[in-house]
Amino acid sequence: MAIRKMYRILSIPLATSLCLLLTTGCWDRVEVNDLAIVTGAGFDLTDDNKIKLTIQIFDPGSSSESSTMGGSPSNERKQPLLESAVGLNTADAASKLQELLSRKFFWGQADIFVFGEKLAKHGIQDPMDFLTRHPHPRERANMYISKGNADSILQWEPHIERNSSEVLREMSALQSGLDIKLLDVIVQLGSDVHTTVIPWVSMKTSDNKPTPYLGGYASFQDLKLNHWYNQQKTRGLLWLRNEIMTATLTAKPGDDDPGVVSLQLLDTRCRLTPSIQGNKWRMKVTVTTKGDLVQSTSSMDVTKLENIEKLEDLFEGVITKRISSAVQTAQKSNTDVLLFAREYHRHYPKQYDTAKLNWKTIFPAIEVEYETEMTILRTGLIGKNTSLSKSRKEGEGP
Amino acid sequence: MEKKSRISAAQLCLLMYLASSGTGLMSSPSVAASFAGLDMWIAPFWGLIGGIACLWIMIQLHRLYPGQNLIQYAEAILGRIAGKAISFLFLFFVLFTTGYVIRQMTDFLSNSFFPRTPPLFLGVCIVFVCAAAVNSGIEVICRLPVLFFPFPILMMVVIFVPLFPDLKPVLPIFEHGILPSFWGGCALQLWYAVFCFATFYIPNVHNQDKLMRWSMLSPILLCLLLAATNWSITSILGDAASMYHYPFLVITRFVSFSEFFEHLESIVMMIWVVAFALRIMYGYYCAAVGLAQWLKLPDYRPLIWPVGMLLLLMSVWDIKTTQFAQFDSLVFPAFYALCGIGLPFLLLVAAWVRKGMTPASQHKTSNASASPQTQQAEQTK
Repeated sequence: MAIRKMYRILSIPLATSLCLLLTTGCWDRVEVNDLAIVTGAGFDLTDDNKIKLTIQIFDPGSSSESSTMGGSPSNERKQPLLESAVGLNTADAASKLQELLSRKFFWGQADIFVFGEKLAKHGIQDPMDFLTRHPHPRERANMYISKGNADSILQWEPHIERNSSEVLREMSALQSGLDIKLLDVIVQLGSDVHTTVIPWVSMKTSDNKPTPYLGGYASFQDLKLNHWYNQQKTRGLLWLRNEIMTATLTAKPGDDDPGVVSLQLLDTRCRLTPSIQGNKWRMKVTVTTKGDLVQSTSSMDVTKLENIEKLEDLFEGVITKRISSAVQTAQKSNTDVLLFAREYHRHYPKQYDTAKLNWKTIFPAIEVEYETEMTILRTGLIGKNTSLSKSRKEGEGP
Repeated sequence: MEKKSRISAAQLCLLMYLASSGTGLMSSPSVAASFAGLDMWIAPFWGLIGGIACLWIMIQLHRLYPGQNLIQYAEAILGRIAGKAISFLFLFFVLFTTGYVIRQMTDFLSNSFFPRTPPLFLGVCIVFVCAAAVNSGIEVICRLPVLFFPFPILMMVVIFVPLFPDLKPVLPIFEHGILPSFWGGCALQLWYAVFCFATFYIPNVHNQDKLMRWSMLSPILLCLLLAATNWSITSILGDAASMYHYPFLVITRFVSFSEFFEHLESIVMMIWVVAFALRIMYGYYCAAVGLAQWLKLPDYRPLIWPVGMLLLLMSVWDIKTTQFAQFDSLVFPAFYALCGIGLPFLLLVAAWVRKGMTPASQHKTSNASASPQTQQAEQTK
């Protein structure tokens, strides 16, 4: 057939021209040595309300040297590679920053994003939109608020890990509750109450050198920082949000008892049960927890069941106190970081639908009841520590 | 037409399922979320009605006209001119939706992974691959999903298993009544209506007795997949789900196996491109065969390149970006449902009327290979 022949003849130049297309290569080809790999980024607010973006760049030269010259440790450590630029918003600052670099920067490996205190109080919508919209920053990056400027955290040079971003990420992973990812913040902000919590970090001097320290949560209302939660209250929050994994509680058993008792919690579960009676909104917080005794210098005989029950009551009180202090702070600052709104939404969708518009007047008035159930499972390798109590008796003599 | 190429009902089931699951996973969650909110995981069950109706109509039509597809029996049912017009509309639907899928793919790839590669180049690449598959015939097209079937399963396992601890029941159900999820289901006809492409494959199925069972399985599988995906998306992203264009991509980026296996989105993208390619060749073959029959050509193969060009044209034709097109309005789903379900239903009604009017002896010969059920039904008439 003539048509078929024509088709065949025509297909040869067509096929060759298609091969030509392949020689142009891929437009989005990226070589690793053309990339400045961002390991952490800080966002600050300048005095004239502009955004200052600071990035910590992975320095491939220094890390490969230190690994090959493992035998001869050099005392002078290189400062981490930091670059910063100021712009109208984050994207503008990023483009200004690019002008300072010989390599294109790459967000895909950024482990942490730090917001400076001033920016956090002013509002975090600018960097949050950038981080959500841009396809490169990863949803698994950790978020922090820095007391002071964000770049002071990034600047710090650690001794064990590669850089400060790595240190913070590992610290967060250990204290699982303070592990707030970018996606967590986005999801929390997306809810009706429009609040979120982000862990805060500050530099603390330990043994004459500064060390970053995760202090607790900072809560946000309407994208603005409105309260710092200290370590104790953060613990209370973590219990409520069911994010606590392990914790050590320490308490004095009684006024006449000189010793203290410590308990390691193994398994903690918290359940929120909302109820609405007439106009009264109530929330019942039920905590069930199990723990092991890890230290006891009290004179109490922990092998006796009634003493164990006494200790259980004691620690139930401690837990209730911590949770209630977190709840009181949240209600006082009128920031629903306790996820109460979500519980009402789940169980009372109709009432919540009308209430969510004036949640700010309802939330502080919610009556919270606590019910704590604690079980001490084991007392460690020993029961009553007779070797110590004897020596104490002899010491008390003269 | 070559009558010797034969496929099995199971292969067709897999093809239809995989072809719609790729695009379904990518953009159906945000479509469902924009209508149904927290009820987005219920929406696929409403949509399922459309998918099942669509396949049932196609199979009934095929029982009345065995060995023919919609383009062929449209003329027999409605006469020459009306039949040609209806089948032209149907062909346009096939071409347009497949071109639209190419556009979705190129937009997704250039938005998330290749910002600097010209989108048309990505489109040309995929059309080229699909043209090669369509050129090899229906048997190859139907074997490809069998070959690739394990990979999407693997992807599901890799993504859903690490997310398992984060999953929780989505409450409240039917917060704003039953309607939001129903409209979400209507919007999902963007995927369920596409099952009507089966009309071009059904005549080649050799085990017609199992056809009904297998083809019903396909929309059910799709429904379960979408429901599971939407459920995990709502329980992880909450109210933020409707904000994202590609919520499923976000949750895959969030997957982490003990800090060890991260950045899974590259694997997801790989499997996604395979699913997209299957979807495009699924429609491409229909367009080529349909156009050949519409023009009364003996073979569809000379039309493969022109149809490919048409598909590429459709993919850039008057669509600024796919991101704005399908949210918040039922215009697109209505078009899909009208062409994919409404039009075949019209044909079926017309065929029933026609068969009822003509004497039974006349079409008895044409119905020789039809299933005993229809024959029985006709004998009672």
